Amino acid sequence: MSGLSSSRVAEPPALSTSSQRFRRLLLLSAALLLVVLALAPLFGSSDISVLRSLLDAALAKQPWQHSPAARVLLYGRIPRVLAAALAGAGLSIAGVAFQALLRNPLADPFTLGVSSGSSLGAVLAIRLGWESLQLFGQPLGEFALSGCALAGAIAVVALVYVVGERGSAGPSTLLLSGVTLALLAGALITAVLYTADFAETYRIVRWQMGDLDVMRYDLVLRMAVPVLFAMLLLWPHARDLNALSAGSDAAAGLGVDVRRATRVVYLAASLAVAAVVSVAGPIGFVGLLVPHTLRGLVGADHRLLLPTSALCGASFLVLCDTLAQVMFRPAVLPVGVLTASIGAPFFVALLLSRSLRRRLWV
Amino acid sequence: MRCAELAFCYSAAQMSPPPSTATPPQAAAQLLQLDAASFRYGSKVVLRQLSLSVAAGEAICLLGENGAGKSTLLKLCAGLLRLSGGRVRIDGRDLDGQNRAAIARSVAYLPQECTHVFPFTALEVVLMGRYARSRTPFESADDLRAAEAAMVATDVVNLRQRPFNQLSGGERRRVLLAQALAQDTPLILLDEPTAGLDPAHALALGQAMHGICARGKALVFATHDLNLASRFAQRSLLLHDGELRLSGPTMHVLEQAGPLLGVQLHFGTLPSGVPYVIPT
Repeated sequence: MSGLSSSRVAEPPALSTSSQRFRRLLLLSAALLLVVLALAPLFGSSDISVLRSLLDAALAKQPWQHSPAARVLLYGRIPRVLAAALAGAGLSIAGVAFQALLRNPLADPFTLGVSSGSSLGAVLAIRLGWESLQLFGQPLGEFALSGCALAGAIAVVALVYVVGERGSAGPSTLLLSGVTLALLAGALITAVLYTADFAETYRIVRWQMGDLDVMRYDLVLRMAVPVLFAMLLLWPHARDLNALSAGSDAAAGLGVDVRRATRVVYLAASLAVAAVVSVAGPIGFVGLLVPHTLRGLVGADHRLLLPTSALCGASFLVLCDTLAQVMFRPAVLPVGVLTASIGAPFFVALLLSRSLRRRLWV
Repeated sequence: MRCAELAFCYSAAQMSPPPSTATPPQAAAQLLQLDAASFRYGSKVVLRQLSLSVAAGEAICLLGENGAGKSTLLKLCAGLLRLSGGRVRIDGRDLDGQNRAAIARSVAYLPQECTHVFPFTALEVVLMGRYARSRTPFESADDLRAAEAAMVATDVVNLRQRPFNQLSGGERRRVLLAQALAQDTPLILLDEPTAGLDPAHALALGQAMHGICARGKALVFATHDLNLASRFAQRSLLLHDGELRLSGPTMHVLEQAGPLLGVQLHFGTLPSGVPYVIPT
C-alpha cells in the first residue's frame, strides 16, 4: 500500500510540457536534415570532387556555373537530393498517418495498396504507349506516366475507402481491403507484363524498382506541392490521431470528430504517397521503418511524431540514396532495393526481439 | 483503511449529503434526461422506451445481467450511438445536433475496455482527456494541473511516466478514470469502473466516486458489483432484456433484484452501519 500513501504528496507538474520537447526535437531533426542536405550533394555516382573543382574554378576566376562540377551539382545531384528528401518525408508521414488511422503498426502505403495502384497506373501507361499521345500538339511524355500513376493511386484509395466505410470489421477492414487490392493490382501488373515486349518490360521493371534517377526541378516541384500540402492537412489532426490510438469510440468520447479526422488524414496521406510514387516509383519500407524507429525515440505523441518523421524520413532517404549511388560506383543501385534491404532485416529483428518491440510499439 | 487517505475523498463525508431520492430533482438541475429512449441494432431491440433523469450530485447505478443493455444505455448517453427513438438531453440541450467536442465538454465516458495501440505514457493518456478543453495544439499549464489533480484523485501519479499498455488492468482502469476526471465534465459515465481492480482500489474508487458527486457532478455507472451499488449509489436502475424493470433507491431495487439477476440476495449491515449484499 505504499503506493497509495505516497500519492498524498502531490508532486508539482515538473514535467517538461510537450511543447518544449516539440521545439527541441524539431530543432534537432531539422539540424540533422540540414547537415544531410548540405553534405549529400558532395557524393554521387561519379567521383569528381565537387568542392575542389568549384574551388579551382573560383581561383582561376572562371565563371563557376560553367564548370562541369557545377553542372553535375546543379542539374544532377541537388535535384536528386531534394527529390529524395521529399519522397522520404512524404512516405514517412503517410506511414505515421496510416498506422494511427488503422490502429495497426504494420499499415503503410504498401500494405494499403496505394503503391500498387500507382504502379498499375504507371505500368498501363508504359504498356499502352500513352506517353506518345498528343495533347494540343505536344506529346504527353512523362505526364502520362505520372498522371496514370496518380490516377491508379487515387482509384485504389477510393476503393479501399469505400470498402472500409461499408465494411463491418472496423479498422482492419481498411487494411484487409488494401492488402486485397494490392494483390489484385500485382496480378494485373503481371498480366500486363506478360503481354509486353522487351523494351516495355524493361521499362516497367525498372519503374517498379523505385529510384530517383533523372530528377529534374520540375519533377521535384511536382512532388513538393502535394507533400507539403499533405503535411499542412495532417498537422491539425495530430491530437486526433493520439486519441484514435484507443479506438474510435474512445476518441469520440474525448471529443474527436472521428469521421472527419479519418477522411482528412486518409486523404492527406494518400495524396503524399501518390505524389511520391508517381514521380519516384514505389520505394518500400520507408513508411514503416522511419515511424517505428522514431516512436521508440520520441514516443507515441503524433504532435512530435509527425514533424520528426517528416524531417528524419527526409534525412533517411537522402542518406539511403547517397549510399545507393556510391556503393557500387559507377553503377547506381535503385534506392528501393536499398531501403528494402535495410527495412526487411529491421522488421525481422523487430518480430524476434521482445525488448525492441516493447520499445517501439507495445 | 488507508484508501480513505486518497486526496480526492477529502471531505466527501462532511459535505452536504447528495440530494435524497425522495424528492425528485427539479428539471433545471437535471444533468441527464432520457425520454422514451429506444435503440435497435438492426431488427434487435436493445433498449425499449427508457426514461430516466439524473440530477447534479447524484450517483446512479445500472444493474442487470450481461447483455441487458447497460453498456448500450451508457453509449447512448455519451452520444456514441444514435437513438432509434426518443431523446437524450444533457444539461437541457439535446444531444442530437451537438458536435463531438461540445458533447465531450458535458459528458465523459469511460468504456469497459480500452487499449492503446501505441506506447503512450499514462500521463499522455490522462492529458488526452483535455482534448475538448484546450484549443492550442499543445496542452497548457492548466491542462497539466487538471491532469495532475485527476491523477492524484485516482492514485496514479506514480505511474505517470509508465507506458499505458504495460500497466496492469486495474492500473489502466484508474488511469482512464483520471482521464475522465481531467475531462472536467458535469456528467461522468462509467462502464464497470471496478472490473479488474483489487479490493483496496475498488473501495478507493467508490469513495472517489462519492467525492466526485459531492462536488456537484453526476455519475452513472454500470456494474455487477452489488456492494459498490449499495454503498455508493443513491438510486439504481435494473435493466432486463432492454427494459427498465426496477428503479428507485438502491436498497429498494436490490431487495427485488434477486430473481431478475438469477440469484438470491442476502442483506446485512455492519456494526459501522455499512450495508452489504451477498448473492447465493
